[in-house]
Amino acid sequence: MITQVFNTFKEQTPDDIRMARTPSIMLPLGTKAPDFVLPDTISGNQYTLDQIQGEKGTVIMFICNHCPFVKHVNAELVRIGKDFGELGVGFAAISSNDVENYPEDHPNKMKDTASREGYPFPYLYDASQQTAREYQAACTPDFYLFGPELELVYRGQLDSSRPGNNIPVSGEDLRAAINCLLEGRSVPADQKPSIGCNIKWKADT
Amino acid sequence: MESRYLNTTGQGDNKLQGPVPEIVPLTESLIPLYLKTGREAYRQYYCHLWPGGIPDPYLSRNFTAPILLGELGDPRYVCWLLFYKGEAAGICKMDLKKECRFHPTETSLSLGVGHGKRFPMAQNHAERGGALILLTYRV
Repeated sequence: MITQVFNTFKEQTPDDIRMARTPSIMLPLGTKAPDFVLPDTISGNQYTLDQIQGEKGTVIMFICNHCPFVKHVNAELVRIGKDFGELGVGFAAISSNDVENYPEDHPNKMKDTASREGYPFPYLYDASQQTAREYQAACTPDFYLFGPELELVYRGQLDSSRPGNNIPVSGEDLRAAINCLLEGRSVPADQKPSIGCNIKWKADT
Repeated sequence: MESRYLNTTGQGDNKLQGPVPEIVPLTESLIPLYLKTGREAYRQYYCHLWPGGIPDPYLSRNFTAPILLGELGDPRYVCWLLFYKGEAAGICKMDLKKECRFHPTETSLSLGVGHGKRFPMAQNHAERGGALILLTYRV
């Protein structure tokens, strides 16, 4: 049943997809990164924020397997993780989706996706959805960049590319924010929300 | 008791070809050479990350003698200079707090023990186009 829904979605036009878009909530800049303890679907290890934190900055991104907006940027997520991971920026991806109604996002399939795409960062499963709530994540993908003291310096979109808009995926916005952080410059506060599928909240939350 | 070793000789299933790099722990007296070698390597590998391909603001902020001195006294980090054919050819910095991850399809030497870290090696010293070397170590 879910597969049928997804296949129908894939056949929709860009205008139809636009109707389904959910924007980031845009957590206030300066917010301290909420801590978490989540299992990595790749290694099976538990990860805390402290273990993810990079010496120069930390990127937390909410993604999932089935979202076409995430699939659209997966290759860039790998590139940006490799590029800046070697320069002291920590990365983690988190999936918080309800896997009962969206089995494509099950942890076993998260592991498959991480392996296939070559994610150079942990792909964490937020079963309780508590972490998504604490970060006020609204959509997939949704990006947060924290400074060395885990203060929020950027949140919002990876770049302006979306499925169907013919803008190349470049990671421009997040990369520019990371560049500012690494060079000791203030990240401009004029930041654009990410847009994607809504987080699939459980019915009882 | 903590012990570390670096395996660049490829003992076991994998073997490095050609001359064996010499790995020298960073000391205060080696900092100028480390900075010179590191800046050379950074400019060859990371320029694409910066606007206009200019990494100078990043290097000026993050790759300086005072920062290296601080890291020398921090047990979280270990730094080495790589010598190849008698010349300083690359640098290596490891964050012992971090797990290093490598995708199976990524070009690397997998020596099968401990953690690993790719590090940049100045291109004039890198042979066969393989400019990234994976070190393994045990803690």
